[in-house]
Amino acid sequence: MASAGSGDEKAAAAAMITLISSDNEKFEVTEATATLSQTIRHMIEDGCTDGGVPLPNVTSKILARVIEYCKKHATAAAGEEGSSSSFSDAAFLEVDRAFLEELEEFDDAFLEVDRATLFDLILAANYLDIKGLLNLTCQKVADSVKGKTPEQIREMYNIVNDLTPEEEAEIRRETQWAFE
Amino acid sequence: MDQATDLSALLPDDVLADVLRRLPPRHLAVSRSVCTAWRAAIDADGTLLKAKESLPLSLAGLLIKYNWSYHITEFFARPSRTKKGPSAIAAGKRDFLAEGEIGAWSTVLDHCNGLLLTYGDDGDDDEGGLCVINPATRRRARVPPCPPPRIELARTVGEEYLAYDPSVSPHYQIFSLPYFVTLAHDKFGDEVDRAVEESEWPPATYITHVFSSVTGQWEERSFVREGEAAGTVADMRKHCSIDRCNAVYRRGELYVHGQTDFFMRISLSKDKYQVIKPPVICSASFPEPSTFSELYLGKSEKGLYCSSIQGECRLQVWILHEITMEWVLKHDRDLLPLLMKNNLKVPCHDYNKKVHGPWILQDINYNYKKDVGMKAIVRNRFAWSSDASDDDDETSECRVDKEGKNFNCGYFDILGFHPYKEIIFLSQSIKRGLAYHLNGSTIQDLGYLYPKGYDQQLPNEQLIESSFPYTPCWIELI
Repeated sequence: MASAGSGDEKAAAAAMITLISSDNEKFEVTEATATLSQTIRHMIEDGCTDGGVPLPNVTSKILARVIEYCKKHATAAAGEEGSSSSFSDAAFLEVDRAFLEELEEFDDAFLEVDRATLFDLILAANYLDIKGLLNLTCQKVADSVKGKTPEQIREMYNIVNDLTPEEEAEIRRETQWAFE
Repeated sequence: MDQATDLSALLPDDVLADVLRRLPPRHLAVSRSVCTAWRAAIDADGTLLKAKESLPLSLAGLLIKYNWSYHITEFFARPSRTKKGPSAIAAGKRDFLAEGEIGAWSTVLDHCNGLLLTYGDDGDDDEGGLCVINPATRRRARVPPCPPPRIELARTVGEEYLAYDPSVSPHYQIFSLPYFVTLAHDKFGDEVDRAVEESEWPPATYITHVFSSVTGQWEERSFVREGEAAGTVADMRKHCSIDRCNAVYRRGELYVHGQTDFFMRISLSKDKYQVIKPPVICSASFPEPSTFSELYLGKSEKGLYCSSIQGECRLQVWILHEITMEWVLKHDRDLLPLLMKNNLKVPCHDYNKKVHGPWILQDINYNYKKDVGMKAIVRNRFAWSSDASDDDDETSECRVDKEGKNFNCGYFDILGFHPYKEIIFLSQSIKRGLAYHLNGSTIQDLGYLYPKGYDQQLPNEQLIESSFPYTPCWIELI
């Protein structure tokens, strides 16, 4: 929980990183939050974060969301480290479980965005190499496709059908079992 | 961002592949026809190709349950000559059912997409209970006993059905539905609640026990009826038969053949169900009441199928209309001329002269249990009436005249539908297996399907209780 992570936060408080969005907005974040991104972690390791990290592919709107996600999950990661050290009694595990549930709820609420934003989040997660966020957003898209017909999928994501009728017929033939 | 932008085109190839890889095989296959980019991503990834090899997409043979009191299920299939399966996964595992390594899976209650639901001893220790078996992956999972039915449903037995579709989810469910037993001669009349007997069935809210492989537990689930009921509880009791009614699981819906021949279409995700009326059996040309009018429910190329044999060998097949939920007659034909043309009279009942076909009955349970089980139920084998020998004489000696009067076609049981082609499998007097193509063109002799030792042990009760097409599934997740 928050108290378990406070040690790390103190240590990280000293090292703040400035992230600069494509529209030139600046975001101050702790190193613990920023290093959820493997891309930024490498930059910190290489010592090239002085004067801020420009992120030309991410708008301020999306970056704010990404930081929101990273803050929450950085706390979670710190909490996990704390729990795995010496505490193993049931009460502690109970707290841990409650926290994981809270995190799940956070993720669900976090994904309540329109489709365009969801895809922007995927692109940002991919560019910044944030495994958890990429996993979460990709799964959301996959879930939205489940059980839909090709027409419904195209409509949902504005996809133009560039298959010829012959190709479509062939696909159906090849995987008849999925369409029956 | 412009709302008309193709969102998926924004994703780098590897990210699109990452999204699509998360889909279960069925949805992945459907996604291939979204656009060329999606098709390319799916084909390059190879997940679908691999999954396809494991899915229950081919018919291996038929599981036939003989005799209602002895409970013996045997496997009738084309013997595999080589170990060349459709894939590397399949290689060497094809003979699994035949090897009998799984022990005695003598009573197969249901089959659904490669999983078997069995009941009875597992050949090793105690008397066992419900078990889910995947013969292809050689996995067996015990299922805890189903809780007793609701208290007001007096004098019922539970019938269990499997719902499993590995192309969508690796998890399965088992439904336990009540089967109403006849109240013989009103002997138990005082014990039942009259109000319940006269109440409609199935009820407006159908509450039943469902086992989920996710939780490993039975849970009460309720399904709300859409439309009318089929009758009353008392009506159900009047249609108590020894034959088991089949169920079919398709597209997230379980279709169960109920008493009085109605069908229940249970929608698992919507918690709803509806009653489908039985097909209208056309019996104009057979005015006398038929003795073999039992309906067989199955799935094949175009969805849900239902069939019955009228008279000696008049076959009727209906297809369920997806929107109106009514049975549409698809095929109605007297098979006699075709049987005569192919000289398919009842085979001689003699092991030395048994008919040879491409398929054989593998007698797995017989071979497994012959030293233990069979002896225990030996009855007076000489109490057999003369019918059998009459049969033999006729089939081996009779000559066929042009009208077919002396042509003994025997009696027919429906064994099942081919899951992907419009072919129906039939049993001719529990001796010969036949594959009939519903386009009416051909009937094919599959071979002898009379189980070994059957005539000696159970002279008066030879019948097929139920039969399922078996489609092996190599997904290792039960």
